[in-house]
Amino acid sequence: MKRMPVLLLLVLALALVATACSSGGDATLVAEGKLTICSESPYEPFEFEDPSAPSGYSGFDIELMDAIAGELELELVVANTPFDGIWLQPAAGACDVVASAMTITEERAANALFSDPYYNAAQSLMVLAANDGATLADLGGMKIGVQVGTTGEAYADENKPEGAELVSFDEGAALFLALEAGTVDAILQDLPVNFARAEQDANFVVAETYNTEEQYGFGLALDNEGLASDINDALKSLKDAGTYGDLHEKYFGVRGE
Amino acid sequence: MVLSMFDWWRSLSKRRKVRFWRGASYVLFAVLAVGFVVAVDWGRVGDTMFRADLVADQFPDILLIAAKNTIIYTILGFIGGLLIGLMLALMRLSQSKPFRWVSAIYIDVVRGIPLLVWILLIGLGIPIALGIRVPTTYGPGALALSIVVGAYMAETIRAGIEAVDRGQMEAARSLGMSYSKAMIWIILPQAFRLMIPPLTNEFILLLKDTSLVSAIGVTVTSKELTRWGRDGVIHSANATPLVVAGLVYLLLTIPMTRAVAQLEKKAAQSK
Repeated sequence: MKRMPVLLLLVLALALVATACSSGGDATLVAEGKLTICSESPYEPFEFEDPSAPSGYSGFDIELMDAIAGELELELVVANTPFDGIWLQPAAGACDVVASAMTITEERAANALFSDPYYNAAQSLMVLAANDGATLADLGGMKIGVQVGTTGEAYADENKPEGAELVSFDEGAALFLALEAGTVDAILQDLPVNFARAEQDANFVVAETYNTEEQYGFGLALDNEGLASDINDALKSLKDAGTYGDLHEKYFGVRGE
Repeated sequence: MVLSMFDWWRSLSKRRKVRFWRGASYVLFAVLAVGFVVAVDWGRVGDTMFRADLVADQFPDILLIAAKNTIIYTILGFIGGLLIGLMLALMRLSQSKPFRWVSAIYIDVVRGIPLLVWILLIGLGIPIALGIRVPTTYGPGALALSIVVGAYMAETIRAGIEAVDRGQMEAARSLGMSYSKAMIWIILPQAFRLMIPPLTNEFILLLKDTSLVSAIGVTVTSKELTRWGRDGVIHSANATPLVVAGLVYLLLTIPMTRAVAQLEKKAAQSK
């Protein structure tokens, strides 16, 4: 009999874990009157902290999502979430939409419903200014920094030269530090992010770009078709009204389509 | 009604009150346990957290790569931490004030900042500040673990040394041994015997903390268990790899925890 409470305590602990894990359901919004988005910040220029913004965050994704929330008469709430596996979050009930510079891929589309594409992206190679002109093919025997679970990681894995080694990081923010520290020789990730960094920091240059014809989309739970079509309608009317073009110009210098 | 229950309660002996509460807690736990079994959607748990084909997919690489790397990081960090901790403990106990201060400051500063921050600072900060890259794949992570674990171990080792009877040192000195000889041959061997259980606990904590080294970047061959599990979750869109990684941790830690319990029992008996 002495052992009983220990066993039962264990069961209780398990119960708590399981209830925490198995939450979620078929509600269209996780919080009434609010559009909750999962986004990994910082990932400039798409998402970064901004104390002056009502949601606490700003960037192309956030401002576009804020405009969409406005169209839908909802309040935007940003949940800063690690990027690896972020497209699984809506199904887990953590947020309604993933807006995190996420490329639409077949693998992700198997577990998340994507909105219409909202941004055309490409991959790029960033190196220290001293190594300007380096190409991916030159990196044999070197270390290429990538972020876990990104299309940049997949591209680097497929196209790296013989002997090059991928070093993957939990978060994008550590990548630039690692390049500065010399623990990696190059970074392969989305062009606009590398480009924004190179503009701010003379130490870094974008040495090569790769036209992968990637498109970003917003990710939702597979069964949340209602919200997906609302978002697509809102996106379309923002494009028609010129709001989308203004935002695109603000962050990327050109109006986009 | 309320009053009569109150009277009934007051009429109970102390022993029966204790038995009442024990019985009540058994009932509560049983209700919670049954509620848990009923509430959980076991089919869904099986599909998303323990899918047989994905479990099979993890082997043997989860052992040959991930568990191997976890163990390598743990052993390197433990040996480094033991050396740093021993040095700090001896400095802490020395007659020299500056030595004692340096040791005290090191221990306070290192223990006062989270391990993850140290790993980022040492793995990425040192190369930026000094232009030095810690060589080898395991180097930066193992160094960061050693530096931090050393601070925790210093206190364990100091307590161990202090627990050895004072008379041992006095006897050794009176036989003509120098302080350092007496420390090395008389005090430390006895102190380490006392320290085996707490050091084993440090080892287990360290084994789990190796999950943080992936913050400074991992290659395909240097992934440890947690990173392995998380990557598996991304690629399979299923929690099974992480659950399996958790079970492998248990496979490593439970034998050690049991061994510590045995050692502690033995130590208690021999007292």
